[in-house]
Amino acid sequence: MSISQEDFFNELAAGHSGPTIPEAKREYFQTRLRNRLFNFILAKFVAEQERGLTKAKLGRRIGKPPEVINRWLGAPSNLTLDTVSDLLLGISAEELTPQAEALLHQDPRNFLPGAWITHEEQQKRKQPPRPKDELDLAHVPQKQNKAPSPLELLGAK
Amino acid sequence: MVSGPWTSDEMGLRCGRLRGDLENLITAEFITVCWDPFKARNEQIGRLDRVEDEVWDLRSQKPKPGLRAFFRFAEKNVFMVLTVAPRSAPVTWLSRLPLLDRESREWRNAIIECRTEWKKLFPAHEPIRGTHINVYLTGGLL
Repeated sequence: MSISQEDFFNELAAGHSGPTIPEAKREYFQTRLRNRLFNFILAKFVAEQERGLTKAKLGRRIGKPPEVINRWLGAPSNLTLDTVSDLLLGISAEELTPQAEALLHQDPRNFLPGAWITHEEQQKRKQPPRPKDELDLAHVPQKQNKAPSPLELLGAK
Repeated sequence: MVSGPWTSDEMGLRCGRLRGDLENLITAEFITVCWDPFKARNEQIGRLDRVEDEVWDLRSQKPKPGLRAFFRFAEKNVFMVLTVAPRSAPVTWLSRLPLLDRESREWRNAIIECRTEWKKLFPAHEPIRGTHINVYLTGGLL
């Protein structure tokens, strides 16, 4: 399933003279940024854990008690730019390099084939549709008396 | 609720944040998890008491009042968010009592309501059950 962003992005698409971007949408993008930074830091920490880093060692390295490290690595809402800087220094001796990407005119990309899609179904998706009169219905399976799965009920194929 | 339009600025602000948090649960490589009910510190999601109910919550903590979105796993990495409730104080735009104390009647009702909504939507299917976070989620950090 893909979700159209067209309506959600309409103020963004209006250009420099467009209407005020509503606070709710700004909040949404602030949350996205906060979550992305948190995920970035968390992935760095997990990678360094495999090389022996622990929360205790990280805390000692950046002069913070374990409960502060737990809080920072627990949820995105506890991060600030300063804590991001401290964590990156302590975890991997790195700093952030700012980069931005355009929000508009992106292809839908929240569709990921799930395990419930069989290989055969994925192959069918790749093939162009055939005209109706060429369809061979002999191989269409008989309808089974089976309750639809939660995903089928929600329209996932 | 998370797509708008919203009936007030307050609702928009809070639900915009909730939308971001829900999307993060789908897209993030790692998610911090509270596996044992009542042992939560700062984790993003948690398994709720009683664990046999198979009801989880997503903690959308700030701005206050925080929201809890209740969900169950249909299969690994597939979750169905069914209900939402404010954590600590009522909000004008959602007719739900705040959950308050961890052993409150509202918490129990919220879990029962989540199960009821699941049964309405998927009467022939049970949520997945497991003894390790890997059964439910890829990238869950305990």
